[in-house]
Amino acid sequence: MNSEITLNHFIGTSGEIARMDLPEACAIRLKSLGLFEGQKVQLSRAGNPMIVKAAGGKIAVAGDIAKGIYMRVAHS
Amino acid sequence: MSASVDSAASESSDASGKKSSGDKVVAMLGNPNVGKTSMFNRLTNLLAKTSNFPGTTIDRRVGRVELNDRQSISLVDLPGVYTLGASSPEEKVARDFVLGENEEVPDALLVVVDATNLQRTLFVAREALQQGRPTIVAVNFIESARRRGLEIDLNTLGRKLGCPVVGVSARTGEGFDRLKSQLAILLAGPALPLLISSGSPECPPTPAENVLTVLTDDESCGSCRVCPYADGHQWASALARESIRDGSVVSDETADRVDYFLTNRFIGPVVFAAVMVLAFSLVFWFAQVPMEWMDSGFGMLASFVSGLLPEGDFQSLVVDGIIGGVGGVMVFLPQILILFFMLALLEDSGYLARAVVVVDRWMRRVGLPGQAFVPLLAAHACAIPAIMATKVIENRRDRLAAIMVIPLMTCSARLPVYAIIAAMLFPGSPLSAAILFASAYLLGMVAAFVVAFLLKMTLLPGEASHLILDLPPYRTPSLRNALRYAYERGWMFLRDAGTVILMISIVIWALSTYPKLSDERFEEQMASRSVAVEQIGEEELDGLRAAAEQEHAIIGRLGRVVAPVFEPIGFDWKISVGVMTSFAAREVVVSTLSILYGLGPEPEDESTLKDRLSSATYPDGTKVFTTATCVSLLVFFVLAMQCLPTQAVTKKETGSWKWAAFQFGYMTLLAYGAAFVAYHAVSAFT
Ligand SMILES: Nc1nc2c(ncn2[C@@H]2O[C@H](COP(=O)(O)OP(=O)(O)OP(=O)(O)O)[C@@H](O)[C@H]2O)c(=O)[nH]1
Ligand SMILES: [Mg+2]
Repeated sequence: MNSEITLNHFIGTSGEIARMDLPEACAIRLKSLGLFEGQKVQLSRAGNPMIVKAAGGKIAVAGDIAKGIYMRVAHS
Repeated sequence: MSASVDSAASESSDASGKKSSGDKVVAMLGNPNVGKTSMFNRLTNLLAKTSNFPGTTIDRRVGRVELNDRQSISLVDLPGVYTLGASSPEEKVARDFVLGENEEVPDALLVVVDATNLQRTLFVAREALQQGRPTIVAVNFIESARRRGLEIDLNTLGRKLGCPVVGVSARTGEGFDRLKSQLAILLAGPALPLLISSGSPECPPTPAENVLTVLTDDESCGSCRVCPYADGHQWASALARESIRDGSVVSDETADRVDYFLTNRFIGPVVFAAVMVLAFSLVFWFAQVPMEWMDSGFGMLASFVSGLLPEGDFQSLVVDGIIGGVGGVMVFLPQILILFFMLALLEDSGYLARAVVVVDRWMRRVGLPGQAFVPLLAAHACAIPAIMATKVIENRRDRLAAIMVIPLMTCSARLPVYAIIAAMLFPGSPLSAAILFASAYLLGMVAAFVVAFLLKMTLLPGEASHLILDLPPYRTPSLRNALRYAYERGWMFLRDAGTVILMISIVIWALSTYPKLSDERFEEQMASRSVAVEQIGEEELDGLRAAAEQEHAIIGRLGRVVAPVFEPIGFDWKISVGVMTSFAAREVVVSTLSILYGLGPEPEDESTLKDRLSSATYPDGTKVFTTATCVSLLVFFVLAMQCLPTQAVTKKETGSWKWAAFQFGYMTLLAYGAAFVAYHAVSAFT
């Protein structure tokens, strides 16, 4: 069973995006930058804004947006 | 500065995107920051703005390219897009043009991708290919990729994409001949049927060897197959992997480490402050010596010319009006050159995006989005391109807030005024002068933040939208670009000095020379002020006479009308006139003061403008430029809205004169109020 945690609370260096709960325009922007459901991302700066690496790019996202990005947490 | 009107005008005049002379139209498409504009500049020999920050180009721009002896095309540079499906204004410009939404579709697409980051940039290439138009892909940054040991297999890439692929470098010019010849072939041939999967299950993939064929089985069963974005990105990363011959993945550990410091919660702000202070104090330091040379050069020129010409009105026109007025402004050329050079280097380095990460939180607090940082910084050169650059801010509230405060930043047209005041307040102490400079910059920034906050509390309520920013890689700035850019801006400044300022100077000279004061009137005046003309020295008499002549002339009469308005902030009538003329363009105040204080008895030595101003006195012998007046003048110029072209751009970008009028009104009141406070505060202490 997988559970989810929002990106702003995510701890660790890498993870997978489970889903996004954001306004349409915002979600499209993120997806076009390579942050889509199922994508593996690396965290490179915590805090606000945070910096994630995915799809060959480095993207700064504000904390309020990170709240709408749900990460998959694998139970061990 | 007023020079920028012209650049804005020429920018829009060839931005129509219309075909000229039946040339075929080729549109450039690609992610932001992949070097489209750099390639465009190289191909067309134009000098459109480039920088290492996504979203530099905000409007389309057309240029002519000779492909060979017989054929030329209209090349259209477009804003970068991450996807053709996006909705921000500048992305719509690109999208509409490529899709032919408002006019004919372009004859071909020139898709630009980044060799150092194919994975990221091929996504848009795929969207472009899906349009089914004749397409050519340029793999830019090829030299940079090679340096990092990354070799791209262009043949494989071309085969998989099903279109011609050329490796190029906008920096070195490599591959451009081939790009041109390939473009000519592409335009000559029949439109290739480009067959690409639409990504949806209903439409089966097309037979050409491209797109999905590079997806291996385990990749194609991802969780998100129906999502075109996931699909496209997986396709792109698979294709990128296949086309990198060397296979070695670029190590970006160094960049990560640098990023860690630059965006660190504690170190980041310190670095930020250091970079800003360093950049602006270098502008000041480096410019000092050449400015002094130019200043005394113009002084020598003036005394040389006045020796050549017979004494009289014509001599006065040339020496006081033209050399004094235009020269007074021209000496600031070194500062302008250095400012633009440094800004160009900074923009090219990739640091600015990190600065955005650092300042975003503070900016949001006053209701400005992080994206407004780059326009705010650009406003230190000139408010006009800065206001236009706010197009990258999607939210209207945020954009308005940014536009309203941008002119508070110290633009290059204010530098002459600051420099004169610094020289008067701190002659022979460059350190204090530098501090004064920095304070003026800082005052502008602080005022912008305060005003933004007040706007958020009143006229523009709401939260600034949240940051999503693609961080560009660090790159070695191009010295050539920075030099070209500085040269172009310097040239614009000179052209301005030679036209607008020359004209205003002549007008000011005429207004302050005519009508002439007759000898009888002068004697009457002296008598009425009970000055015993016979007893004072000749030199002093000349001085009195010059002052009386000026007051008698039209400008003196105008001055008397406006002087009461500015008296509370410590300006004499000449400064008041200078301030009034500077509402056309800020730097004009320097030429006006130069003329008004320069007219009169021949200075013995080659005196500089600063000397003339510092020694100016009221009729009762007190100094005009006291510390309080200097500070008040400085504060006024930091905060006042004195730039008609900026007003026009504000109107255009906000869509109404209301905002332009508001901007003018609040800035003028703010400037006057702050100058008043500064004048009285400083007067109390000195
Ligand atoms: N080393 C290197 N740098 C390049 C090359 N091409 C462009 N650059 C740099 O890359 C940065 C981005 O270039 P631009 O031409 O502004 O990119 P753009 O695609 O027009 O960007 P937007 O207008 O934001 O869409 C600038 O700093 C250029 O100096 C290249 O071939 N090699
Ligand atoms: Mg561009």
